[in-house]
Formats: sequence, C-alpha cells, structure tokens
Amino acid sequence: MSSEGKAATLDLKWQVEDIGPCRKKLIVEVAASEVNRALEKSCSALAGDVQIPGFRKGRAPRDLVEKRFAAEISKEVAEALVPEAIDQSCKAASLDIISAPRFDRDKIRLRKGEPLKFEVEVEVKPEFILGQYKGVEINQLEAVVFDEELDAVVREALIEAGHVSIEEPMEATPDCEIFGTTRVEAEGFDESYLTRATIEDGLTLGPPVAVPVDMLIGKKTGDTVEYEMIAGEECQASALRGKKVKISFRINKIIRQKSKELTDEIAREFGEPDAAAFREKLRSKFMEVIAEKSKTRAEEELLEKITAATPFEVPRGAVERYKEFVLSALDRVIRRLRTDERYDNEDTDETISKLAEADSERIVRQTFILEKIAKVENITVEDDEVDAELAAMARARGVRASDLFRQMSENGDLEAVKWKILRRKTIDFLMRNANITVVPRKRNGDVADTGPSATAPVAGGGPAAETGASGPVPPGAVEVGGTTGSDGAPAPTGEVAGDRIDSTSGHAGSSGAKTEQASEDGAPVTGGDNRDDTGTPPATGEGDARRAREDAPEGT
Amino acid sequence: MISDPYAVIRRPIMTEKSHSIRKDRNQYTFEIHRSATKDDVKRAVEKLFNVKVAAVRTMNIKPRTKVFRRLRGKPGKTRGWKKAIITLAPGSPGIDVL
Repeated sequence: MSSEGKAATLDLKWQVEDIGPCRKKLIVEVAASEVNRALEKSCSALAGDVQIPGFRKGRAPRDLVEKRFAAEISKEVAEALVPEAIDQSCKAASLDIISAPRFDRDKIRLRKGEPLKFEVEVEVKPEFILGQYKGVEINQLEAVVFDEELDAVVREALIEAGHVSIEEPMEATPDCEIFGTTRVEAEGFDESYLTRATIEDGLTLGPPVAVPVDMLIGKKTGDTVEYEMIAGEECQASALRGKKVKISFRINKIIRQKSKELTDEIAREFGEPDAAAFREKLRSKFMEVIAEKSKTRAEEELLEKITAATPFEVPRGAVERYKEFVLSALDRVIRRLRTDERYDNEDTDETISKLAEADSERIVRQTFILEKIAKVENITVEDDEVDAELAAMARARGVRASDLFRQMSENGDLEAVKWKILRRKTIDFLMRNANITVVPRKRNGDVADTGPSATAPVAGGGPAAETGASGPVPPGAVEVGGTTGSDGAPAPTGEVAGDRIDSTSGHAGSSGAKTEQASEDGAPVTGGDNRDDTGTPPATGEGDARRAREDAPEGT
Repeated sequence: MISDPYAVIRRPIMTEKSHSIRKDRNQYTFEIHRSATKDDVKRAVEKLFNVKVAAVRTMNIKPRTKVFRRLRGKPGKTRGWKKAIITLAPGSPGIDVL
C-alpha cells in the first residue's frame, strides 16, 4: 500500500510505502525553489560572519563565500531542511511516528537549482481494531484477613520493634536460624563460606550452590552435615557446573527469635490504648494491603484478557527501546551483581536481558491498547488533575509544587505525569465496565505475597512498606513493567526485594541473591519503603526514567 | 620575454579593493612574475582566460620591514612582488577568478 500527496507549508511532494509491520518508507522531494531559498538564506547569514583573507569581517562578496563554503552551506541547509520536510510530510500523510526517522545522511545531495530528494524509514503506531474491553469477565479475590495472618503480622511488628526474646535451643527446628560454615569442595575448587540459613527461607548467606536446609533439622551446635551432589546448570558458580561437589556444613550456632506476647503496655508504645486496638489497627492496614493487591491482580488479569483479545503486530523498535530503558534502569543492579564473584556475569546479564525482553513487549502492547481505549472512550486528563497529582508528588518529596512543576516542565516529565493519570483513569474505566466476580480467598494466602513484612509497622507509626499504584508511562516509550515472575505474571508492586527470597521471581536462587524490581511506573524499586505515598518511584529511579524518556524519540 | 603564461601569472589577488574594481571597472588584479612585462601579461591573460585585454598596468610592491617571530623578534623583510591590473576590453567575457 502506498499513498502520495503534496504538503502545504514547504513546497514538497511525498510518497509513503509499507515496508513491514508498523514501518513505512517516506520518499520526499523538496522543490528546487525551496532549496534555493534555503541556500540563499544560509549564505546570507554566513556572509555576515565569515572572515576571508583580504576582506574585512562580513565584507567578503556573496559569490566568493558561496564558492568557498559550498560544502558547509549544503550540509547546514540539508540539516535544517530534511527534518522540516520529514515533519511536514508525516503530518500531511497522517503518520503517527514513534521513532526517530532513519536515513542515510551521506546519501542526501543538495545542489542549487535542483530538488532535494531523499528516503527515510519511520516506525509508526500500530493500526488495530480493539477487541472486547467492556464486560470482560474477571475474578477478584475477597479482601479478608485470617487470624493466623494477623498473628504473624503482630509477631513481625513486635520483632521489628525489638520486643523479642532469643533462645539458643539444643536442636535445630524449622523456626530456627542456623549459623555456620560451609565448605564446598570440587575438582579445582575449595572454598569456605560463612552461612546463615532458615528452614523457611533457605540460605540467606552462603555458598553459590543449593544446600538442602531440611537436613539441618534435628542437628545440634557443633554437628557437621556432609553430602555430595552434582552441580546442575542452575548453579551460580560456573566453575562448579556439572562437577561432583562435596559440601560440609558445620553448625556454629542455633538461635530462635520469638516475639514477646502482645500486652497493653507494648501496645501503648505503638500509640494505641490497648492490645485489642493495636491488633485492630494492624488488621485494617493489612486489609488495605490485601484489598489493593487483589485489585492490582484483578486489573492485571483484565489487561491480559483485553490484550489477548486485541492481536496486532507490536513495533519492534518500540519494544527494543523499551527494553533498553529497562536495562538502563536496572543498570545499578547489574553493576552490583558484577562485583559479586559468586555470580556468573554472563548468566546475570542473560537473565536480566530475558526478563526485560519478556516484559517489554507486554507493556508496549498494553500501552498502545490503553492509549487507544482512552481515545475511543474520550478519556482525557484535565489540568486540575495534573495539578493535584503534582501537589501530591511535591508533598511526598517535601518540595514546593511550583518548583516541581517548573522542574518537570523543563525536563519534559509532565507528559509522563499526564500519562500516569490517563492510564489510571483508563484502567478504572475498564474495571468499572468489567464483570467482576468476587471469589473467596483461601487460607495460606492466594494474593501474591501478602506476607506480614508488607504491613509490619514501625513503633509509633505507619507501615514499613506501602503498595504502589501502577505508575505512569508515556505511551509506547517509557513504561516499565514489574519484574516478570516465573509464571509470566508481573511481580507485585511494593514487594520488598532484599535478602528475603522473592518467591515469585524464581531467579533469585537459594543463596540469598538480592534482586531489584522495575516498578510499573518506570523505575526499579529497591524496596517497598522507598516508595512514597503516591506510588511514585524513588528519586534515583525517576532520574533513570527521565533520562530514558529524553532518549526516547518524540511521538511515542 | 617570458613565454610560459603560467609562469607570468602567479595568482589572482582577492581583496576588497580588487573585488571593487572588478565590479566597477572590469579590472582584474594578479600577482605576476617579477620580470614579466606588460606585453607578457597581456599575452598570458589572453591565452589563459580567452579574453581581450584593453590595458595593463603593473607595479612593484616593495618589501616591507617587519618583525618576524621566526627570527626571534629581529626585523626582517617581507618578499617583494609585482602586481598587474588588467582592464578588459568592452565586450570581452569576464574572468572567473573565484
């Protein structure tokens, strides 16, 4: 398919040809009169500044300047004329470009009295028909808090606040923390590691090989557990893979941390009148977290169903740029892992690259769909909504809203804020129009990772981690998805990724690898407590997001 | 007499003044060989540029005393040279000296 026409302002002709999904070739011809006019203008400007031997500054004759600086003038004129011509042709041809036009500068020849002809390749927004997005059937988990969960939250809160008693039991039990030394021996390999393990979390510090911690149950301080294994491909130390490995774990210390009983006196330290009120406060906070997470889960299900119902070819360039953005945002993590000799560098890069790849296409696809739904349903963002968002962000950062507005205007970040609001409003619209079935929540948690740590309060105040709402992404350019779990689903936002193993990511390994997540709003989340109350990412992450946005071409 | 026209005409002189007289009076300025005569210049220009020369005026530019850095601040002399201003005959095509 191709089309052609004549653009309005610049005297030019254009022709569009399809060269692949979401890719067009634009053939532009700028009239000779326009070329002459531009050359004339450039030459006049140059003649006033140029200094040629034998002439005072600016007194050199035009024809001499034109002849002496022909190459420079042509280049300058081409650089000014070509983008303008591309811009006008794209507007005239109604092309919604999402990438910087690609063309060979060296092939562009500009001569006086001749039309300027050139070809450019552009990536355009995909054209597609929306599938069903209203009345989509989804399930939402009932927001209930079970007593045993609340007990765990209370225990966690008490331990966090230091109301603990530490016992040193004779034998290791599943609720113990075990410290020791692990010696790993293999052909050409003999290393010892300080090791810390719990039955629940496995190794939180130790060697780069899996240690079956269940074997430690029933053992005493001073005991040594030995076993042999063949290190598999999943082993993080490449030197051990495929080799027979002998592991000796010597137990140096066993401790059991128990929270004290919640009393009215302890509750008063948290600013509550009695133990019952404290429990009630924790219950309501935990309920909020569960409700938010079940809502997020339902929204993700909804988006996945709408995406599945709307097939179209995603522009590969946009996916690649998005992937690059994710990788640059995660650069800090990659750099840190590179300094850790326990991890294989190539594997680390590959794992992160795969995660970014998997997420990028999904997020880019969703972005185009949400943008189109917003357009079809006439969902817009009003100025006062932007003002309110900025005011909330300014409050969270402790700066003046006017300063933040000025800074974001200068950086071009306002578009990201607008997109964040538009995305939120569109998802809310979709949720209002979905057929939601509330399903009962089973015990032992079927809302992703609503563990006690998510709500553990600090003495005297609020939650240590708050859930972040899905954040803003300018369409097609800089949306960052959550880290994809092993099941392809995004990891829950607000999840603290630290020494504690992320059970959804499936790539942290059993040796206490630290992972960071890219939040839905375009920045890596290094911990739930880094998020402010608006769900915006920490400042460092935003910087990355901004840099990536600056790199991203316009029109995306 | 110098027979080689390329030896007679060294280079065109491009200055504000030469540009001015070229435009106003159809006169062209060249640096020429120190020994070249007006006749040599006329023949050389007519042969090289295929034009009709009406008049030739020549002048010797004397060396100037100048302090040269390469002589560590001691005064030296610039080179002397010979200049010719050629007036083209009416109706003759111009010379592209740029």
